[in-house]
Amino acid sequence: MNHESKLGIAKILLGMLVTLVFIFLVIPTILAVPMSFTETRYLAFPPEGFSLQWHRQFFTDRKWIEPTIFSLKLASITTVVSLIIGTMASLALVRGILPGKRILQLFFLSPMMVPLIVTAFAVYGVFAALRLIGTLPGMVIAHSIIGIPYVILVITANLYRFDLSLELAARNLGANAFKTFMYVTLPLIRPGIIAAGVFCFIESLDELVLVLFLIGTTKMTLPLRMFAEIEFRITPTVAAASTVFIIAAIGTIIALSFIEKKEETIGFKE
Amino acid sequence: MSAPTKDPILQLIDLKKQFGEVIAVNSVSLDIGDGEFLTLLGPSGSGKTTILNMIAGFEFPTAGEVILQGQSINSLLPEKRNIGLVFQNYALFPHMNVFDNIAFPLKMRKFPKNNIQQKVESALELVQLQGYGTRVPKQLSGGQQQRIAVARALVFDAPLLLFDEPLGALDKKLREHMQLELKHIHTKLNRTMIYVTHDQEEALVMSDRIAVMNQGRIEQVGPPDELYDKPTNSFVANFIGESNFIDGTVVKQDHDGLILKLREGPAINLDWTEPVPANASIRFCLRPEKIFFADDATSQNSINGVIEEVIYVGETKRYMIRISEAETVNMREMSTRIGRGRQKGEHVKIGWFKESLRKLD
Repeated sequence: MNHESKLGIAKILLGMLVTLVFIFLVIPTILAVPMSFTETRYLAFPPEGFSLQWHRQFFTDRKWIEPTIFSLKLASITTVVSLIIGTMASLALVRGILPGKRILQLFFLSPMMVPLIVTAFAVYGVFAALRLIGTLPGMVIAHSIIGIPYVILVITANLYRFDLSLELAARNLGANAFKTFMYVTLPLIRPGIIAAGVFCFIESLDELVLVLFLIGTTKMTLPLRMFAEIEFRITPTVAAASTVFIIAAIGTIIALSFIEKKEETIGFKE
Repeated sequence: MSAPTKDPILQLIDLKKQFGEVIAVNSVSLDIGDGEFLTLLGPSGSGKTTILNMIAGFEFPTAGEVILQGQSINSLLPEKRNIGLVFQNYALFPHMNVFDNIAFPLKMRKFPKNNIQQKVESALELVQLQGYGTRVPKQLSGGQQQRIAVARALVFDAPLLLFDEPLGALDKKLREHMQLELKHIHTKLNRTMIYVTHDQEEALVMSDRIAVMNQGRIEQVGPPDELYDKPTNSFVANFIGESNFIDGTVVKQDHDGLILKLREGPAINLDWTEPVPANASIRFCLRPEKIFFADDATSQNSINGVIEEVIYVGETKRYMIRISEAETVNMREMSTRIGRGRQKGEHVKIGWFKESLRKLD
């Protein structure tokens, strides 16, 4: 066999692998969409008939609305908190004069390496003592444990590549440290902040392990509602909720790609 | 050291900066006159940029003081100093257009809007980039970005402007053009400028005075012609232009002159009246273009030698002439000079005028 035909076979095999991955990972996700339009009272594939009743239920039934609103609220606050703390920590790690910066950075990133279930268990013990179980602040703190390391990872990478002379120039031209950050640093690391923010939001919206441990009895998040529904009886509303999730995710990706195209990587050293 | 011509606007007093074990700037004292164009010239690592950073407020002196208009500014934050600075890499804000870049210092100083408009436009006019306000830095060439950086440093009427190797990234033609343009801006605005460069030609072209720096110290300060004609030490003699060093030991000095025994060579007779200690090792500097062939000269101020190499470099011809076992001298002659061409291997006598010889410390 000559070299060229070997390469051809490799290409075909790679194509098949990619197709399999696509079939097993992506198709099931998309299948939720037609299934949400079924007329039956149970999940069926292929869907029978066409009905918007499950979508209507998702948007009108308090059982679904309240967890959705709580999840959105939780994700929004978590995002803001993670971004502020994570960005400040990144500035300290990159610009600050701190002893043991490398160790400190590893410490800040450690929640990424600890299995979530371990974190959940540990946080449960602490929160129980502090009476934070089942509270919004408690949930925000818990989800920020996941969000902050990601923000630090992205923003420190941005700051290391940042051309420091731009900040010096701003100072020289009469901007104090805060104005320099607002007018020069922040606009230039904005792509990183947006990316990190989107991640925090989706991660919080989607998170179930910490929620299971810490949600208590009075509150409900959207993933938990879906989980509970699947456990008892599989209603097509779960598929409707998934559909809304998918559309929101695709919308976010499209919006992000537009922002990225506009901003590219201005302000960084070659 | 020669003094500035006018009252000092900026004084560096015994300035020192140490980074760990490394002494970047070592006891530098310098007065810069109002309206002066002063260049800090030196090789990389000589401390010139560190001095600039201490003036701008980016570095805090280990010892000594920076005094601007009679006030110590050591503890003043960079944004309070009101000193313009043009960065080596321009440091234009990439997310702002040209207008917003130049308007930035004015906005920080809360200038009224119509005043900003007018000042930015006249700054753009000064650097000959009228109508470029809406472009973003990325769309501009290196030279244009440099002009915008200059306009931004000028626009807020700072009494002192600093330039940190601003032309380093430009090609030779453009650099020469920008040198003259900056010089014109200096003449026009009569603003004090401190310019950092490692390019001696640039320093000679632009400066009122040059401070030659080496290893954190100022070796010599003076106007360009003084530094070229009267260097006080080997470093300056070598860094500015080319030099021949003539090393020897004093054999005898009387009213007829000085007998100097060259290192591993003959004794020569110099027309030198300034007293030197007997038996001292001394070093003289002689510029290559101040040497001439002097076959019929008297024995004073001349050396016999052999031409080792002849190099033709367009408008000049260079000769490498061996004068002793240890030394060759480098001589430069205008190609237009009439006379017979000298050949490699030829025995010659070279001479110089009394004033051309400089004794170095």
